[in-house]
Amino acid sequence: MIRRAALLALLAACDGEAGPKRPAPEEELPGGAATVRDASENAFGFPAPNLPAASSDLFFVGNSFFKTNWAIAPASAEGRDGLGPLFNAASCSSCHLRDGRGRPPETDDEPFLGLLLRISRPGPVPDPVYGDQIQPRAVPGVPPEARPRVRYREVAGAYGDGTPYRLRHPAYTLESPGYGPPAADLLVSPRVAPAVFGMGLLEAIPEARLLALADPEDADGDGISGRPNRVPDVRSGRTVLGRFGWKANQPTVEQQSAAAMLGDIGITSPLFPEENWTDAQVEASKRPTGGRPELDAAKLEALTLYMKSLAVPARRRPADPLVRRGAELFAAAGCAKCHVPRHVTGEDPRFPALSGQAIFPYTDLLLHDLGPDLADGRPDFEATGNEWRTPPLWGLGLVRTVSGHTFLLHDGRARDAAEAILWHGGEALKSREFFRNLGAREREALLAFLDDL
Amino acid sequence: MRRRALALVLAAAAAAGGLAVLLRPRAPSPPGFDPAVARSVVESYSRLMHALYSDAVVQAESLRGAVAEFIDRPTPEGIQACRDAWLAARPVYLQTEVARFYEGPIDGGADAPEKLLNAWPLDEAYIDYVRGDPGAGIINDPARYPRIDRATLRGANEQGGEANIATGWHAVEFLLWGQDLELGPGGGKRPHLDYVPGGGAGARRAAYLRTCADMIVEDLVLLREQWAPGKPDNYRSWLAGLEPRNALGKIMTGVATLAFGELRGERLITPYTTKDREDEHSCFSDSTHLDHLNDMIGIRNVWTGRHRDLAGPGLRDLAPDPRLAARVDASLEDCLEALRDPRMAPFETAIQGLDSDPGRRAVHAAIQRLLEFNEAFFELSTRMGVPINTQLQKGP
Repeated sequence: MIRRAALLALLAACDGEAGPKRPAPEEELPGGAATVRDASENAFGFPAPNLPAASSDLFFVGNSFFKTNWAIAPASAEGRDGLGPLFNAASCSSCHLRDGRGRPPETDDEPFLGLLLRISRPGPVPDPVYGDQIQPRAVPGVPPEARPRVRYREVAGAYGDGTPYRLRHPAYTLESPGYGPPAADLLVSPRVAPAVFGMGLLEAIPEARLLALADPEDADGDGISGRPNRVPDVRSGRTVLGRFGWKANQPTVEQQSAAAMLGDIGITSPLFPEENWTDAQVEASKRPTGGRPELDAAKLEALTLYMKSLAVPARRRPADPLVRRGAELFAAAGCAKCHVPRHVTGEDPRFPALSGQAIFPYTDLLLHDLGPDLADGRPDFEATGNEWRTPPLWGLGLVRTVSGHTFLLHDGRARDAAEAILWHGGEALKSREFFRNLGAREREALLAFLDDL
Repeated sequence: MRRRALALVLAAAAAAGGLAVLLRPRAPSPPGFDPAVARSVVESYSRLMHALYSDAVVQAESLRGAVAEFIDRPTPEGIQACRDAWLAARPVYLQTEVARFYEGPIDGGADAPEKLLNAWPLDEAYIDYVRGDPGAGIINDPARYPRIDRATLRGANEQGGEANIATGWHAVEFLLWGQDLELGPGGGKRPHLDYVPGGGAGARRAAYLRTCADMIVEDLVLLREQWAPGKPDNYRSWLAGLEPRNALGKIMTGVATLAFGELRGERLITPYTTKDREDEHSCFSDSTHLDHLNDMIGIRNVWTGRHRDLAGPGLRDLAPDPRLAARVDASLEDCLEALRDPRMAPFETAIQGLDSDPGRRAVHAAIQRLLEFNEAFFELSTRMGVPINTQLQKGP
């Protein structure tokens, strides 16, 4: 495979073609040695090819915990019971099918799967009745929390050249509340399930490097701030940089995975040993558990290794002239100020496969104010109601293949990459306007670049 | 399970000590095999696949017949006849699994039948009642699934999670045996009365079983035709037209991925580690140990080119030297011997207990033998100059 890349580079050196700068060959392998060349519907599901044999054995084990459904306790599947009692999904793969990206429901009847609603009350504090997340499903005998619905209102806009577009504004409602009417001041934040590959590499970016990118007061006056979220690390008991989640509210892959196990599936683990019902949810509190914890330390270790080891898919045609032109426009528009292309991972003796890799995730993992139209109004640790963490862009062009859709942003409101750009405001307003005022051919180039990531 | 070729890269890494070997730029070198022999090996491989799928169709038709008879008149003997037919049909199907993982007819593209035929692990509560939840599953949900037919079951397969398997061998297995609630040989004990029409879900369950059995036959017929001789538009013809190196790359990728990722990783290491019956391949019928063995027999068939009246050639005839051929021979036989170990059955019992217990020692030995086979096979691939990788040309 590199053989082909090497050949390409060789050809490039000879043909003398003028035009936009060619991508560095390393860009073709955005995960460094932890890149896999596959563009099939399984493209997000491969282990890092440089994983040592012992880890690859554990990868299979972790994979089994990711894909299989948890059963209601007590069940014959002793190692796999304890679902709920309140839950969003019965398995990780329900929402991250093939390790890919979830989407909002496409019809009014379709249940919320792959999109969940985080909630809180001003403070912010969890809601005393509903907790910090709406679980629309429950085991028999326990009332589900609510039936969420989303409805869209379309608004017309136009590119600088007059080409019209339409954006859809979502509005969320909670129907059939199971534990009384939700508080009037309930803060609701929709969150779509992101693709889950490459997370080990993101965790391996040195914290100092990311903090160096932060510019909370915009001292350099470029209109871009970049603030780190500071969140509790349950294992160490310290406050550290948040990296994962739409608001960077989780510090590590392990904690992100354990939190999702609890919040989304109702599975306790050594990091989060308490079931996730509130005192108001009496029926839930009486249900048997599937063990204490339900996901024991060895299983959490296997799951974490799986999550950390999923490889990044290679780019398909980085040398294509249109794609190269798009990469230049991406930089010219200032996108790369937050979607920072390149990082080098640090050394982790426990995880050599992820160490010292030049990677291209296109993120700074920092919080940015994206303006009122995208705001969820729900603070999350240091993140304000206007801020979102820059999501990585790697693998963007394969979402259609792997997950069967192109819905983007934190709640899937954007129906494709162009809409996602057009939603950017706040710190990204200048970049969005740059894109909006491009000609059709240049817009096509920029989108071709994103599609090649 | 349907999951992918993830193992390839792992296989390469384990055998060759990391990515570097796969990625090292290589000067073009003459192939480490005779192209004419290679063509005859590819042709022999296609003959083998056609023979196996032809047998699989015959067996699946026999299962379909037993199911039809049983549904007309549900008796204890009838459900037993269905179970016998299922068990009889499995070995040859498992032997075809060596044709997975290279985007061939079985799993090339979104419409390929593998995920409908043999997907696992399967959440049985997605299909029918389980202990503690008598109203579970598609069968007991006429409001959401008013009709039990091919379209319904195809549409339900893998909806809302990778374990939400609605069709295929393991769905039929669950419908014939039911949950296996106790350790020990024999599998589940589903009563034939489950299929008596009347007030309960008997008629819907019967329709479900019949539909799944029909679909297995239909999908296997399509696969047989893709491997049939003399059809210019089928996969066999396309494969024959490939450069021998590329065709061999597919064949060898199938072998390596089945051995290392699917069999060793998914079907042995995972249940060995978790001790969970959920990770067992044929957990309702307790025939998992036979699945493992027949996967390996399928690999041997491709290596030798021999099966029933077929007399080769096989990949073995392309080995660059007799010592390497003998090494693969020996490690293959070691794997078969390890997988035949009677302490491996029933598999759900073998994986329990201490690592020093006989069952776990037997499973661990098989895991080791497969690693050695993998190393020998990757040595073969390197020496032949046939890369095993995921960058495969799409089929027709």
